[in-house]
Amino acid sequence: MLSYLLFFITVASILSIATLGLNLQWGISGQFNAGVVGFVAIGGYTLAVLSMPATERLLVQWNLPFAVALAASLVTSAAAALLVGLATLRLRSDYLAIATFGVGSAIQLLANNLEPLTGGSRGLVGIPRPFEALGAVGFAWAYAAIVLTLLALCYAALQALLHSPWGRVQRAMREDESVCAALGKNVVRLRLSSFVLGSVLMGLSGALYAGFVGTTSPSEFMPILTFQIWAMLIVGGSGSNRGAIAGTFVVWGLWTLSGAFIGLLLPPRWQAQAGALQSILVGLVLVLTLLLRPQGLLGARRAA
Amino acid sequence: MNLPLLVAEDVVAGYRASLPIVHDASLQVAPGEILVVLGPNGAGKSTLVKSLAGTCPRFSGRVRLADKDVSALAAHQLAAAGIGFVPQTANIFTTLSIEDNLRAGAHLLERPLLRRRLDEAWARFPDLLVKRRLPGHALSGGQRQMLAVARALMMAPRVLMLDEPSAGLSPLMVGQVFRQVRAIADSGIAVLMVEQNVKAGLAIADRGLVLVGGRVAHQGAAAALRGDPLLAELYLGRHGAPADAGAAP
Amino acid sequence: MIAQAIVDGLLSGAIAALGAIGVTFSLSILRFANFSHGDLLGVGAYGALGVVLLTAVSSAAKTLDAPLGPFSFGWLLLIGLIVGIVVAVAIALLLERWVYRPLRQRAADPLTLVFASFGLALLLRSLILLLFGPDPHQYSTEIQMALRLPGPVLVMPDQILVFVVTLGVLAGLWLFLQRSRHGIAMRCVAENPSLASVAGIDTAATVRMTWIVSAALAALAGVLYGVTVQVRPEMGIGLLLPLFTAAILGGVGSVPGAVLAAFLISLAENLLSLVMPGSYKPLVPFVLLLVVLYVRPQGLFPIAGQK
Repeated sequence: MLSYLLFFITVASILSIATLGLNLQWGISGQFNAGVVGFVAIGGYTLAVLSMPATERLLVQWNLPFAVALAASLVTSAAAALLVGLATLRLRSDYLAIATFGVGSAIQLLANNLEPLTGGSRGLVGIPRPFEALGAVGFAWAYAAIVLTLLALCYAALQALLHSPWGRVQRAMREDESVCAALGKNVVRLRLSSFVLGSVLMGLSGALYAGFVGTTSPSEFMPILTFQIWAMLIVGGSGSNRGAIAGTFVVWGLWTLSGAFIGLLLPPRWQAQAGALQSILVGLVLVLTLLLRPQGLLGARRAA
Repeated sequence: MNLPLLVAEDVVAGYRASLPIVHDASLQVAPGEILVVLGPNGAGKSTLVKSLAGTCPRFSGRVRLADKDVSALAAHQLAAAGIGFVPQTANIFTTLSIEDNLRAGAHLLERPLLRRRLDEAWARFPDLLVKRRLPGHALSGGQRQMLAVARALMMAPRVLMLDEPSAGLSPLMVGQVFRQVRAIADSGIAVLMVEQNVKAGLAIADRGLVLVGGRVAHQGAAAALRGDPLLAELYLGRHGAPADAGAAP
Repeated sequence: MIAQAIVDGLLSGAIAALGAIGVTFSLSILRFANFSHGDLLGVGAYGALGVVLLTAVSSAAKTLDAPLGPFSFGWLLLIGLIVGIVVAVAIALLLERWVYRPLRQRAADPLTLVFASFGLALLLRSLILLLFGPDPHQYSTEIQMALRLPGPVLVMPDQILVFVVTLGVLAGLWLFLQRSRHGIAMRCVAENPSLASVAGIDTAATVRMTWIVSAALAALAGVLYGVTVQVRPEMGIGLLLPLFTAAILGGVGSVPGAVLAAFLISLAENLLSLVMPGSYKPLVPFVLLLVVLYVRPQGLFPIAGQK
């Protein structure tokens, strides 16, 4: 039981980092990321590819240490964010949504097809993990400690950032962009920095996930993840970092519970369709929150 | 003396309820007469006429068309009821041909009536007939203005409102446009015209109204206003302006 | 080889063109990126599938399913097409009434509609998955005789029909937009909604008409895709990015632009897969999207009144 709880807390904390990233992009600076899974996957695959030990069929066999690979995953997710961020910077706001959606689809395709690099549809198995020598239990505790520490650091850093001048301008910009522009603030650069930072957090989350489960494959990063993280954000109330973390735990808890339920009650033949039920629930959360409780999406201040 | 056709009472309008631009404005226009709305920049003239046309929010006040209260009608319903509006900018569909612009103006009409109105438009604006297949973006400023007015007339409105019809036009074109507006009024339509050019506006108008800081500061017969020194003072903001004449943007 | 790639590109481009038109309408008239548009294709395809599956329970259906001429489908699929269109249009109008209109009336943020469509896309797709299961379906298991055209190019009769139908529909749509009252109203609202209402056009009614036209085209595209490829739950999400790319590349609001761009993207995909592995084909729209956004974001035929 305890080990399951530890597992749950670790995964939920990892996901919380991604939700914090989304909160930065949407809750703080009002940008819509429709391809969250893509940025998470970039982080995960970067870590996996760079830390995999030398194996014949792999293109990259650098076997880098965990910390280095982790840092690299931040760089690659930042690069991807810059690629689409710069493209859509001065264009209408829904173009960023379309471009990020493109990232999500493109990453999935690349993961499936670039076999020498990503292991194709089977993915990469046997990613070296820190503290593996401690045995299963030791590893679980050590990794949970790493993840919780990083989560706390991210939270503290984001809170500090929010209360800094940068954070205040971001929020002012979300309220009324034209006023900020009139005041001489470089609206474009501010929005981009927030978007990139948010994507970096998503990449970090993906990397931590890959390091935890020891494998990456396209099935670890399915499109539903984007919707799950969005649900986590709005259940917690967007705009609030604490809410982002709380929402993640709640939604992930409900998701795993319902998944366990389905696994126990239904024969395997029906499980794909039962999975559809979970997705319907997530979809309903998203749409109904928007219709009935917009402050979940817009933040308490701006309930329409 | 004609009974007024368009009556606005105590109109409060703007873009945000917390910051109205027009305060308690009242006016009336009778059939066959031109009421010109004057005032310095930022006085709220455009906002007022847009709120009467339904393209800008009206927070309180009533609007009547003859004996019918049209306060609750949306813009397209006002057009159907007989209020035509020519906005100052973006007043034609640049991606449509001249003929399609006029058809758009007659959206609600049945085919035979539409045909008749189209023929009337060609008769009134022969220049447009020649160029009927040209797209809107290929027209000169003066032609655009003519098309905008022609489009508004397609519904045979009883009231025609124009927002600065002379803006950006050469003096020659201004004269032409104003002659058209006078002819339109003479055919029995009540005309409300916002105008920046005081002299030209008062030259064709029957009555004038001066808006300062969103409030009606002064009104009267055009002839009387023409020589009125008060007008200059109101424009320059020196004397007699209402208390919160925060006119300058 | 090249001739075959070109023909394949034209055939799949035709289907994409029908879908891209709905996207360009939603971007220009409805003024938001509709992420559930792809799933309207799915709804159309599955609506028709529902009718076709009746052959399992009804002998009348079985008779109607007999293939017509050289094609793989019978009258039953045509009935299915109508059903698919009706269902897609009904869903679109219901969502407009219950989700989009209320949000439009109170939301300050244009992204709210995008977000709603995003959630609705998941809902539609999951409902399809729930009702029909995850496996792909075909409308018919008929084996078709391919036609050999000069090239040499192999083409199925179904594919030729799809192409001809698409051309016919595009021609009809063109007439509708140029001549009919509702078509002109749509073009007016696309350029300038405020001026349109001043001219007497009821923008709410035009919005509804836009949904009807977009959903009908999407449903048709979905069924045509099902006829020539297959029907599967993720078909909508898979087609969405190429459709968005086509609408943006063509110039938002331009129907000819969307059509041309859809053909260009399809041709590019098929020609490029002659020189690169076929599994990279789906990356072409994304790369093209980035190129368009960086180089010419207003697209090939920019329309006034669009950002």
